[in-house]
Amino acid sequence: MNKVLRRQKLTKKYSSRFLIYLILFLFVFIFAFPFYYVFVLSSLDDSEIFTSPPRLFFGTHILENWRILFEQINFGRNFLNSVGIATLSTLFTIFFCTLGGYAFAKYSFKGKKILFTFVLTTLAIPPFLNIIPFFRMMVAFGWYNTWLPLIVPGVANAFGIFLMTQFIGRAVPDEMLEAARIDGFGELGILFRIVFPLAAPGISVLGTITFIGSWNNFLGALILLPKIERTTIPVALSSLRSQSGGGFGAIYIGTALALLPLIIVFLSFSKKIINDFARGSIKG
Amino acid sequence: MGGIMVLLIGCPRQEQGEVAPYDPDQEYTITIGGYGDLERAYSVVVNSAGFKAAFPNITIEFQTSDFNGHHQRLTTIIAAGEETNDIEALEVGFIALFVEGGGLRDLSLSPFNGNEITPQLVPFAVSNATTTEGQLVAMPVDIAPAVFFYREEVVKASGVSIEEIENIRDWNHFIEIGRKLTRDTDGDGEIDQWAIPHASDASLIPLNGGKGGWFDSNNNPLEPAEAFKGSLELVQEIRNAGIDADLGAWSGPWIESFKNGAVAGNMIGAWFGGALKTWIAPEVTDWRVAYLPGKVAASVGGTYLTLPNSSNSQRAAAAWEVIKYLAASPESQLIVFREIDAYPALIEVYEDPVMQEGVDYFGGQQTRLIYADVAQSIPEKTVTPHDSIAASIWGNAVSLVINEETNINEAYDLAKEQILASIE
Repeated sequence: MNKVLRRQKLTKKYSSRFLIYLILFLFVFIFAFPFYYVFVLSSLDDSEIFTSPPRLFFGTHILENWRILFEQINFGRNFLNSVGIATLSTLFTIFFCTLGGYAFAKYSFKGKKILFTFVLTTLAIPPFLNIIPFFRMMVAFGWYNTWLPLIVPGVANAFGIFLMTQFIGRAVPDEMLEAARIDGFGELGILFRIVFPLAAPGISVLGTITFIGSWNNFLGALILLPKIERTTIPVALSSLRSQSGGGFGAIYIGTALALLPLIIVFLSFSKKIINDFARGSIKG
Repeated sequence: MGGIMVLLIGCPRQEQGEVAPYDPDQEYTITIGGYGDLERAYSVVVNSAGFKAAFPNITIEFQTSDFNGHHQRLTTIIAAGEETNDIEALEVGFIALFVEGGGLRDLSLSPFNGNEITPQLVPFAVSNATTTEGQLVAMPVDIAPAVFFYREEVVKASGVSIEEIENIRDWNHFIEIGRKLTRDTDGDGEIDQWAIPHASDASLIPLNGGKGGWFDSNNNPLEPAEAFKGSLELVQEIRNAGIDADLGAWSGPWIESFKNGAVAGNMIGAWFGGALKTWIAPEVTDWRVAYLPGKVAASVGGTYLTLPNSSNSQRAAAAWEVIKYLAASPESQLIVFREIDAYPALIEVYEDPVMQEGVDYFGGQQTRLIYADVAQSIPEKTVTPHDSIAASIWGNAVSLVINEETNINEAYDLAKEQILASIE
C-alpha cells in the first residue's frame, strides 16, 4: 500500500515538474527562436530568405553574405563606433541619472516638487517634436558629425532620473545616510560608498535599457553622423539595402553580429538584477 | 516620419544663397546623399574614364542609407534649415513634399540653366520635376516606366494565350483574363493562383501616367471626378472579381508569390525586372514583359537629383556639373542602367544598341524597347505643392474602397473634403 502511495506521489511530483519544464521550455523557445532565426537567415541567399515554408536550418551562403558585408561597409569600424557610443552613453547616464535620482529622492530643497514635475513632464513630449530643435542645437554647438550628440544630451534623461529617484527612495534607508554623515562621510563619499552599491539593481536596469537604446538608435546616428566611417551599425547596415530591395543576407549577418554585444550585456546585467533583487527579497 | 513631414511643411521657405560660379581650376569635394544601390552605380560612373577626364578636379563622397532612412534624414535636415549634402537624391514621390517645404533650388535659374538640357530627357520626367509655377526643382536620372510582368508558363497553363496577354485591350479585358488566371491549380477546392498581388496596384496607373494629377489648372482637387471615381471603380472591380491575392507589397508572401506561382503577373515599374532576376526569383525562367492594359503609359518610381536650398552655395555650381553629367551623359546613363537596371531618363540612349538586345532572363525578349516606348508616351504632369498630402489621402480612399467596401462616391467625396481641408 505504502509502495503504491509512494509511487503515486512520485508520479505526481514528476508530472508536475515535467509540466513546469515544458512550459519553461516553451517560453525559452519563444524568446530564443528569433535570435536563432537571425543566424539562420544570415546563412541564406536573398532568394532563399523568402520561401514558404520558411527555411529553419542553416544554409550555405554565410561566407558570401560575410564577403558582401565586409566588402560594402567598414563593418569593424562601425561596430567599434557602436560599442564606443553605447558604452560611454551607458556609463555617463548611470552616473548622472543616479546623481539626479539621489538628489530628488534624499535631499530637501526649494522647488524640488516643481522641478521633479517639470522633469517628468518632458517625458510627455512626442519625440518627433524634439528632432528639429535638437538637430539645430547640436549643429550650433559644433557637435555635428561627432559622437557627442549621441552621448551628452541623454546622460541626464528624464526617464533615468525618474527611475533612479524611485529606486533610491526605496532602496537607500535615510538612517544609513544619517549614520554615514555622523561617521564623517562627505556627500560624495556617501554617493560612491553607499548610494551606488545599494542602487545596483536599479543601475543594472537603467544600464541595460540605456545600452540597448543607444545601440539601436538609428535616427540619431542617421542624422547626426553623415560620414559612413563615423556612423553606427544600424545606419551602416541600412546602406546595404539595395534600391530594389535586395541585400538581405548581408544585412542579417550584420544584424546577427550586432546582436552579440546586446546578448552579452543583457545576460550579464540580468544576472546582476536577478541576484540583487533576490538578495533584497531575502533581506526584506 | 509623418510628424517630421508636418514640421517640414510648417517651415518657412528657405532663401537660396548666392551661388559661386563653377571654376574648373578649383578642387571640389562634392557629397551625394542617396539611397539603395545608387552609390554602387554612381561610384562606377565617377571612377570611369569619361568622368575623370571631364572633372579631374572633383572628388565625390557618398552618404547612403536605405530608402526610408535617406528621405527621413533629408526631411529633418531641410526642416532644420541646416546644410545638406551638395546633391541629394529624391524618389519621385518625395519631390512634392520638398516643393511644399520650399527646400529645393530652382535649377532653371542661372548659373544652372537646367532648361538647356531638359529637352534631352523624357518629357514626363522633366514635367514631374517642374512646379506649376515653372520652377525646375530636380533633374531626372532614372525613370520607371510601368509594364505588366507575367509568367509565360503560368499564363499558358491557365488557358490564356500569349498573344492575348500581350494585347490586353482595356481594364475590362484585363479583369476577364484575370478571372482565367485566378484558379485552383492543385484541385483542393481552394484558389491558389491569382492574376496580380493586390488590387491597389492598379489605382494610380489610369491617373495621369501614374502621377495622380491631384489638382486641375484651377487648383481643384481630384478633377475631373469621373477619372478619379473610375480609378476607385477599377480597384473595386478587381477586388470583387477576386483576381488579386491581397498581398501587401514587400511582405514575405508577396516576394514568395513571384517564385511559387501564386501570382501570374504584376503591374509595376521596369526596375522590378532587375529585382526579379537578381534576388526575388533568379531561378524562375518564364517571366516576360507586356504592355499594361490598353497600352496605357504610366510611371511607377524614378530617381531625381536635387540641390537643396540649404546645400553649400560655394559648391552648388560644381554639384550642378556633376548632376548634368549623371543625367545627360549617355556614358553615365548606360553605366547606371547596366549596374542597377535603373532605366535611363536620357532619350538619346534609347537608340543605343544595348536597348535592342534581348534580355536572357526574359527569354531573350527585347524588353528595353517596351520600356522605351512606354517612357516616351507617359503624359506630362507638373508637380504642385500639395501633391504629397493629396496622394496620401487618395491612398486612404483606395484602401477604404478595397478593405472597408466603402461606396465609391462616399470615398471620393471624403477624399476631396480632406484634401480641401488640409490645403486650407
